[in-house]
Amino acid sequence: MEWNETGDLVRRARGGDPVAWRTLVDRYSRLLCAIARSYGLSGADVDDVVQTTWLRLVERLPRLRDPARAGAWLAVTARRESLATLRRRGRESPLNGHTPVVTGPHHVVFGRELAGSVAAALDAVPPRCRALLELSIASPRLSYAEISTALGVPLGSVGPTRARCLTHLRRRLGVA
Amino acid sequence: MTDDELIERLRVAFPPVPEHLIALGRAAFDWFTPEATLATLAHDAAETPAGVRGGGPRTLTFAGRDVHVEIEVSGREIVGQLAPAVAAEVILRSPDGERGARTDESGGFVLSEVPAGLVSLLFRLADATSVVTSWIHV
Repeated sequence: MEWNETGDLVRRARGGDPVAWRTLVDRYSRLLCAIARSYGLSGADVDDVVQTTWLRLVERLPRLRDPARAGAWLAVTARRESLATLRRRGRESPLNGHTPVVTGPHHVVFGRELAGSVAAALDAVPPRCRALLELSIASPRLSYAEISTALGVPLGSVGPTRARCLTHLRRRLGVA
Repeated sequence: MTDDELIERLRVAFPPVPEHLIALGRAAFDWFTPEATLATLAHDAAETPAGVRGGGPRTLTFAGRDVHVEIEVSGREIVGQLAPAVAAEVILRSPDGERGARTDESGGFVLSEVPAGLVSLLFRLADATSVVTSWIHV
């Protein structure tokens, strides 16, 4: 079994270590959030996807096959839960269906003008690009494998897609 | 502007993950029950298109190693049955808390005023083993 920090955290959480669990939550919350938003979900729906995904990891924790790949497992689960949420929404309001919410002011107003303009430009790039860029800045860094699983793009396309998204963003910002 | 410079600016532009989302993730660990055997969702009538909107009860089956759980959800009530038929303590778990009940001698149980949203059932059997169902949305 491959050793990595995530695998170690999962094994410790499995043993009941709350600090290891909190570290996992700190590490992967942005991933789960970005996945839910990439499906056009917002507000309480994002909360629901994130909460359900963590509860699923807790229920599977004792028997999770490959702890080192828990990040990818979380990504797959969050995608499945996002789709399930969209289906439930469709059932609850069959006449309206689900309309992706036009991105609202996710960003707080920043003191620095440039940060503000980057945030505004982000709202104008496609949701999947926004999600990919958000995953690129996650700290600690997510692996390309985790990002590829999160967004359902082939591993070899993560780099090129990110480059395209950055070009998109540059154009919006009007910088070369 | 290089890619790296742009990425640096993105770091400031993306808002932090909302605190309440971090809190939801942390709280999930309160529901860790390593001693219980997981009974996973094997069938959910709501997942198969019924052609009828809302209305009728929804039946779900959870399959565990030794115990199966079948429940019917109608409105805010859950009527369920353990198979094999054994008496057990039933704990209804939701993110807001938990509530206890008992099955009858033949493993049947009724839970009323079930909160809307995520729930999971934990059964403590007479032989000191326990079974927990996957989380479902009701």
